[in-house]
Amino acid sequence: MRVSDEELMIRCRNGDMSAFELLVSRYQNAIINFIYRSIGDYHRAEDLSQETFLRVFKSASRYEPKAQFKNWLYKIAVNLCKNEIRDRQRHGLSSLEDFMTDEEGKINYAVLRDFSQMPDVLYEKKEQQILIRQAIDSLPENQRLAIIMVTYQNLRYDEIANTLGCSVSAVKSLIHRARQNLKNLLLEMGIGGSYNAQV
Amino acid sequence: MLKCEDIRPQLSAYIDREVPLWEAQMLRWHIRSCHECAFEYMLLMDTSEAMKSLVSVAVPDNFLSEVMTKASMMAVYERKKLNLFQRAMRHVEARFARLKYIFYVFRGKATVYATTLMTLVVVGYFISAMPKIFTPPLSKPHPMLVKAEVNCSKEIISVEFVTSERLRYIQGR
Repeated sequence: MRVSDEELMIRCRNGDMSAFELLVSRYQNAIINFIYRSIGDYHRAEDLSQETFLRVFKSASRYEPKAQFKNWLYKIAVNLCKNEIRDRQRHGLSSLEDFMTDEEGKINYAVLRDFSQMPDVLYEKKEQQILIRQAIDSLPENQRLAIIMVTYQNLRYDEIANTLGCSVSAVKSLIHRARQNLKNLLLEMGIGGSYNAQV
Repeated sequence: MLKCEDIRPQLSAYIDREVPLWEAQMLRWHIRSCHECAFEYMLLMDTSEAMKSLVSVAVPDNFLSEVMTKASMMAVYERKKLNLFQRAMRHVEARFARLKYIFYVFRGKATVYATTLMTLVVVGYFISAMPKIFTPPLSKPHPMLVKAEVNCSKEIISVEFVTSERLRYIQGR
């Protein structure tokens, strides 16, 4: 039988390190990917993921199983991501992909030269991935976090609302605006519009 | 009939399956009949699919061991900071946390059980009271019948057989 996260957290509070290890192994993949997609820097994402789990460990003694552990964990990760995004904006830094654009914000194809040895399809795919990343990075903070949580982390709207500290209708509107913005950006970049969706 | 302006903001929630079933059905009908909304829906679906095509990154091999080493160090440091009384309090709190957790889990289940029980009691009451609710109340005896009874009190004619024609006959006599 699968032990619940809350149960593991209680054990962790009692000083059981193996319970904490199990929790980290359960969520490490999700948290690293979430932070990486939010800030766009792999090495920083690794540091922030470690920081997230250490904060969980540190506040284990104050943990009350009133809400789902997953929501609490994402709340910590979201706060760290927001701080990082603000720091980067303050210091004029952005994701690594920004180095691939020129002053006008267009893709600098010279940077992509590294992938030129790849077959055409792979090259195209790589380029497309960079463009999608760029589009996501250009979204406002809350829209970006909300759309990442719904698309990649498969969180429900109420869970996102709990994590971001807003209402479900606000999350609904955030995600809709994020998708609209992304749609327009991707159309401008020439991605999407294959019209193969099924009702 | 829903308007396009009402439908458009719901499309994202529809893609994420975050609308109630009845609303999803209405949206489906509208999308099938409106070309513009169908086009918008397809563009949003494509955006969602394009996002999903992004590859995920792998967790570094030493990630778990690094976190565990740092956590162990942190635990040792935290323990050193606390005096004996604080340590004892922590221990007691930790024991209580488990009880609290059991209470929270039970409380969640208890709400479900209580609601189910209440529903069953209400349904049971209505089922038992149904014959009373649906049986028509006893009507007053027909005024003609009462009159006939009075008139024929000394007659041998039974009240059951009194009809309006017979009453008229009796009165005529």
